[in-house]
Amino acid sequence: MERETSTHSIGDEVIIIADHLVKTFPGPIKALDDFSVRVKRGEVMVLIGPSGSGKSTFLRCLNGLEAIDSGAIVIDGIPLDDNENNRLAIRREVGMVFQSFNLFPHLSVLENINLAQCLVRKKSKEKATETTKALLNKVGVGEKMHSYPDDLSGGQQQRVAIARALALRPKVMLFDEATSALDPEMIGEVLDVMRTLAEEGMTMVVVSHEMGFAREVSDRVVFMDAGRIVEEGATEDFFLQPVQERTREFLRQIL
Amino acid sequence: MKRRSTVLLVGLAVLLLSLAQSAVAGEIQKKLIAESTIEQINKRGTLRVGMDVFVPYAMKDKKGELIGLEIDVAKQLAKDMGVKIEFVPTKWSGIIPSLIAGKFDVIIGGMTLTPERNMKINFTTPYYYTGQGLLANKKMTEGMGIDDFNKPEITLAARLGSTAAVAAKARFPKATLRLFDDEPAAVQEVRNGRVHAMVAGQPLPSHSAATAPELLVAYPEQLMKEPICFGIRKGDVDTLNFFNNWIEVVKSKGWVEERYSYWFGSTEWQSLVQ
Repeated sequence: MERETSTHSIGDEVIIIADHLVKTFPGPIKALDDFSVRVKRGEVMVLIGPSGSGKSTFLRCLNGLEAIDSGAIVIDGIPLDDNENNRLAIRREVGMVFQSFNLFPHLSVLENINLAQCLVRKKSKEKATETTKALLNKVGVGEKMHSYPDDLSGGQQQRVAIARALALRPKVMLFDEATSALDPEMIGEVLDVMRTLAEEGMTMVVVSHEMGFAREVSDRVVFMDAGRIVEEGATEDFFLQPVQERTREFLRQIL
Repeated sequence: MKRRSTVLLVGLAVLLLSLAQSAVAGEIQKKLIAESTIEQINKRGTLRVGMDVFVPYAMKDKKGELIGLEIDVAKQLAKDMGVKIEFVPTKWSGIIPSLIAGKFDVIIGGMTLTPERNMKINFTTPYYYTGQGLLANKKMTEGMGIDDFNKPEITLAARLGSTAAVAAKARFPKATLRLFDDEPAAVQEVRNGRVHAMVAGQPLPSHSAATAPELLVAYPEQLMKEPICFGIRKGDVDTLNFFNNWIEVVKSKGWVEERYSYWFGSTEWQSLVQ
């Protein structure tokens, strides 16, 4: 079986350090149980695993939406700690796209994307609009600039959400089941945008059930269960020769 | 009358018992002296030293011979005791249990005194201190003193989870700290000028500066002093006394300091290894 090799290049430099993360929710449920992973600059890592395995929790911890109980997170050298400046810096450097698009319904597409640029990056409205236009063209919804979210399809809304995350010029993009809420015919257009980002060298951590996408675009696959890594490997090896029985069983179910 | 003789008898018994006791105590003392490590070394004619390979504390040269700061110290110690030396290379993680099990007489291996270790073995007084040093980008920090690094506009690097990261936070609380997975990545940041300086355990700062003196500079200040001591088994006063006094003598001559600056401050010895 041939796999299209990804066209982007990965550096040697580690950009995401997640070291011995533990996150417990009341129950108690160990969402992350001594979870450690490293992501290199330009790498695309796909996280897979059954629901409740800790994939989304990991993404939410990475940009500080959830606090970890113990362990360490460092992004591009910046430790995610009690220091407020560090937390803000990480929020700026890490863009996130969710399953639900969370666009403001009372703002136009343009205003939705301008908002954070003006507030966080302190850009003028003109400068922000310039960036927004370029990004909307990039994700293929340039003509919808003055529309309101309700007038867009799910796929278009998600592409606007991606443009919004990119507007802050993040160094890392997190995708949490970005295509799960979409009708099948719209999944492709969102995955295309993600593929383009990967080819441009964006560091991406993607939680997805789209195995086709994982196979074609990602460099590494991590299979999680119960807050731990069951198996991880270079994408090709992972799908062709999974080592763990648990991985094989999971892949049989979803492939 | 009867009562008086009882008192006498009891008195006599106490006297005899205490005499016997002091005789026993004398025996025990002789036994302790004979069994002390220092006496054993003397009898055997060989000092057995537990160590692990760790640059520049102890390492093999081109001929496969052990060299390094701790090797110098151990050899000098054996010479002053008038005995031969035997090195017993031991994995660092198992070095304390091996000492307790009697596989060698003493640990001379750059071991820092920690309360946790001290619960298991005894330590001599420190023969030198090592610690965390500052390695700076030469251009970016020209004319800066060590205190100038404690400013908000300064960015420092350290390895995640290291003593250096703790030292950096404690000594330069106002500076911004960047963390990396390993030291080479942090050194790279200093070289590229993405951070002003990094904090790392000695001898990394001085050695890195020596390899690229046009780009990097090491500050002589120790940011966090860590005492280095010999480790010996518990309950051996004679050995502890001898080693402590030996350390006092060589320290006062400035000999350890001289050896430390050779192994930690310079890179002259690197031609012996590569």
